[in-house]
Amino acid sequence: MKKVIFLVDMQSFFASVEKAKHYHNLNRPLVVSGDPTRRSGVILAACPLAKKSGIQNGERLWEAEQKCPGLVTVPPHMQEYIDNSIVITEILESVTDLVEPYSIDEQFMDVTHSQKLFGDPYEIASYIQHEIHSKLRVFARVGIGENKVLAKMACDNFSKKNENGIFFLKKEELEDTLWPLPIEKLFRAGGKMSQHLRRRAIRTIGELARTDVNKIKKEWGIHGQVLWMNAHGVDYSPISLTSTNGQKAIGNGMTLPRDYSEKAEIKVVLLELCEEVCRRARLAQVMGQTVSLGVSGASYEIRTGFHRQQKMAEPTNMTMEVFRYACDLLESFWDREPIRRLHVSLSSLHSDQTIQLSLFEEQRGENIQLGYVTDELVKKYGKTAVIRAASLLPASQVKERSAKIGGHYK
Amino acid sequence: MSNFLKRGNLMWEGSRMMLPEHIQALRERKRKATHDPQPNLTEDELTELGHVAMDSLYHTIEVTVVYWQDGYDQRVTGVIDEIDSLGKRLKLNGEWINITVLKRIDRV
Repeated sequence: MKKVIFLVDMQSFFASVEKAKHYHNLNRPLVVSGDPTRRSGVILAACPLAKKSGIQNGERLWEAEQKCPGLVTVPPHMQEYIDNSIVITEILESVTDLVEPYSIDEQFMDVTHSQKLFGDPYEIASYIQHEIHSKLRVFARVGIGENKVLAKMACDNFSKKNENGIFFLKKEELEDTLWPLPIEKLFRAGGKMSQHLRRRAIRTIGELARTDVNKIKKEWGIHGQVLWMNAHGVDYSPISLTSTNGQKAIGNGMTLPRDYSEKAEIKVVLLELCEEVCRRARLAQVMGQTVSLGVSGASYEIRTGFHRQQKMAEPTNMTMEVFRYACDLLESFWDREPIRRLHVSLSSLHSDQTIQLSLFEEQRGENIQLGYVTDELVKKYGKTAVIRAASLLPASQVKERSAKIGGHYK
Repeated sequence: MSNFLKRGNLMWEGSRMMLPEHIQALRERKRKATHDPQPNLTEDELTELGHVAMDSLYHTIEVTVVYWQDGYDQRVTGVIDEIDSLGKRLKLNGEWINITVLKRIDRV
């Protein structure tokens, strides 16, 4: 029996949530924008009305305002979007227990065995649309396919353009539906990859699908093979219920409000990132043994930066230990050019129930405990209750970040 | 080698954009969904626990009390300060615990 997989995608999710709150703005163009005085001040979501005037996500706020006079601008409320996303998960779970969130506004579900109860795929899809709309005033688009990649491409390429927001991309009909589309529309074919393909005279998805897979493998390896499979609509991935369970790594990144070029300044925010990562590790009761540091250079045109990792002597979730290794990485790989973005992550996770005591460092046990004690204080009195002295320097981002999720206000 | 790769959920887990806070919220929800029922100890079992509790009270012996709270096990270690046999509860580290939610009392 063929499976029936849905990808449910929310139309202009953030903007729709905001519109539902500010009901008097229902018929006016609305955008959700980050703080315009900072780098995060770009359009995060634009409602369909605003999109009609040519506003695109990721634009600067002033560009959008120029395109559309009378534009309503609201700041983001990330926590509300997360809460709403979970309400949607609950709605979807009323149809089937096989629901896998893919991002904040997209979720996969397997309705193969719900058809006896809820009707054919189209009926289920419009039932879901109705439920979500009546609860949250958000319009959902549904891509249907026999596997995840077909559902995703059905949604991205067809449901979003459909009047009713539903499209069933059937494998037998790919030749007429998917294959005439330009190669850029293929799932996982990014800008760079599409360029490469175009250079080899592969301009449509169909042209890739008709190419001999061995040639593609020779040229682009596994990634090419994956693309070729996507073009044929072949995907064996299951709907995974456990994909958010196990944690393989804990990482946090931040885009700086301005480019940092002084080592001392960078170290301040690096320490703060290490603290955040370690705190999350302690909360999850794990320790990590591998620390990795990613740095992006300031220039958008010439992309510079590095991503390097290092194994530490012992698993740890102590901020200062992780910081020391992160600093080492920074010292050895940083090209001394201004930087825009930093990312720290901790992987090879172990339980924190057993620790290696050090022969040379008598205090290690106590130092580890110290982290947990500060966490308790932070839990009780807020994220800025205990901060390091270095975080009082102007370069610090602690205060700014404590009020944010994903770089935007809660 | 087949022309079709089977690599589990790798493509999707590798390509998704999930906020840590979102994943945290999903986990929290799942945790709540897997609630434990309230324990229902027999009279004999409760008597057994009573002995350990009394010993702790009279001889200041440290014990670990495991009790149920909103679907989860809570664990407290300390010396029992008071036993209220009428109210069917005992006091540990300044907090009252109802005996209906008790799961275990063990000497440390």
